Amino acid sequence: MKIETKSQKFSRLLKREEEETKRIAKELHHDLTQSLSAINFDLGEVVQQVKGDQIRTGIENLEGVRLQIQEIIKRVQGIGMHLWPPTLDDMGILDTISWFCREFQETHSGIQIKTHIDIQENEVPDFLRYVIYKMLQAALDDVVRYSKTDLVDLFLVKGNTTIDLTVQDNGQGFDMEKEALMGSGLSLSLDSLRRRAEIAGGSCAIDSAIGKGTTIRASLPMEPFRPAVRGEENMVAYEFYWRDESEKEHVIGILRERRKNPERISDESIINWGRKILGTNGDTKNIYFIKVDV
Amino acid sequence: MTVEDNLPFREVFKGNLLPEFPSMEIIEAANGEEAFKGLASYPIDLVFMDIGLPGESGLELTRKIKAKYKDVTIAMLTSYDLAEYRQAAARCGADCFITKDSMKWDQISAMVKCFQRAKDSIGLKPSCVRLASEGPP
Repeated sequence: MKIETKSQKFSRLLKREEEETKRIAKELHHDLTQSLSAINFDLGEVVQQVKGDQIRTGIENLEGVRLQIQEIIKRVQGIGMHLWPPTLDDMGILDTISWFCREFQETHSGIQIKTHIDIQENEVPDFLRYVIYKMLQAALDDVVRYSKTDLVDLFLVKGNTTIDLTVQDNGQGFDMEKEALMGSGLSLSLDSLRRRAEIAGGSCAIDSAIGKGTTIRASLPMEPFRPAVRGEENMVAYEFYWRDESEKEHVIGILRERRKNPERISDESIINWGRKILGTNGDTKNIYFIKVDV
Repeated sequence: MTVEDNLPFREVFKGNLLPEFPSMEIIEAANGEEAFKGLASYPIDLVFMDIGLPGESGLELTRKIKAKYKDVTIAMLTSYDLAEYRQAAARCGADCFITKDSMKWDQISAMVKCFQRAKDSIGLKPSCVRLASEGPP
């Protein structure tokens, strides 16, 4: 069994982010550019046809160009919807969930989603809309990749001070300990879910066992996340970066300053925190931090 | 009036309508504030409303306009033909729903003509508006 260090885990997280960025860039730069080039070429032909009095042929070709443009509009919309659905801003999370689940079931016809919504749109703070959407997107992505299920129950309910999102499937489940030790793609994805919930000031619990399905429960506070403050002092945080051999920079993580006595904080002690995050096997010579006010 | 934050789209819209309806005045607004200024300054009959506006969305703006100017006809314009948008537009009081990528000028033109004819003859809101703007072909 392969045991993954923290630095390896961060590298895999970064790799996944890079792959996603690469996929979007490829769609934008390669596929769309190719299609636009084709349109450009076709329009050039139409200009020549009109100049040569082949008006009817020119008009027919223009109709073809129009259809190509409609196709590109759909593809650009698809990319935009995936990144940040406009429904989030225009209507809110409930309509976005409705759209997303419908699209999901059209794409994955073998998986049924039962939604259980017990919250009103005006009870969901604006800052949580995107968090909930991204967590749902990631959770259902895991369902498709790993669960082999045919049914997902999705709950979005209002707690006393939190909004609770639960995604529950009746699939094959997994051995949580084993996956974590192996640093599998599933484990990485679940870590990412936990991290997203924590950034929003909440938490995310995952429960799974082989043959018993998987339940992801995220609890997100309705009040915006505010770091603990000491009196009226501003809190500071440290963004840690790692520079690899090719001088490429990667974010390692962010740490809030926790020590009670700021005089005890030195550059060296801060870097030591960064080393702890990076893990013992990481290249700790090439890390640096940026101090930011929170 | 067109309420649309995208200037090229506003210009194309106006540029196509004006030659056909030279007697018609088309007011342009890029956001909710400008829309209400237009409504307060001109006797506006028909509004083409984009959904994705900066600040307040076209849906919320439609709800507010309908509350204050109930006789104004509002045609919702959007790039996304989703059931959720159609339902939200109806909830907000929009009179019809047009998707930009399937929008055809003869459709828009027929709608405006119908509107103008009804207004000129009997001064009533035309009943053909909804028919003229049914979903994509």
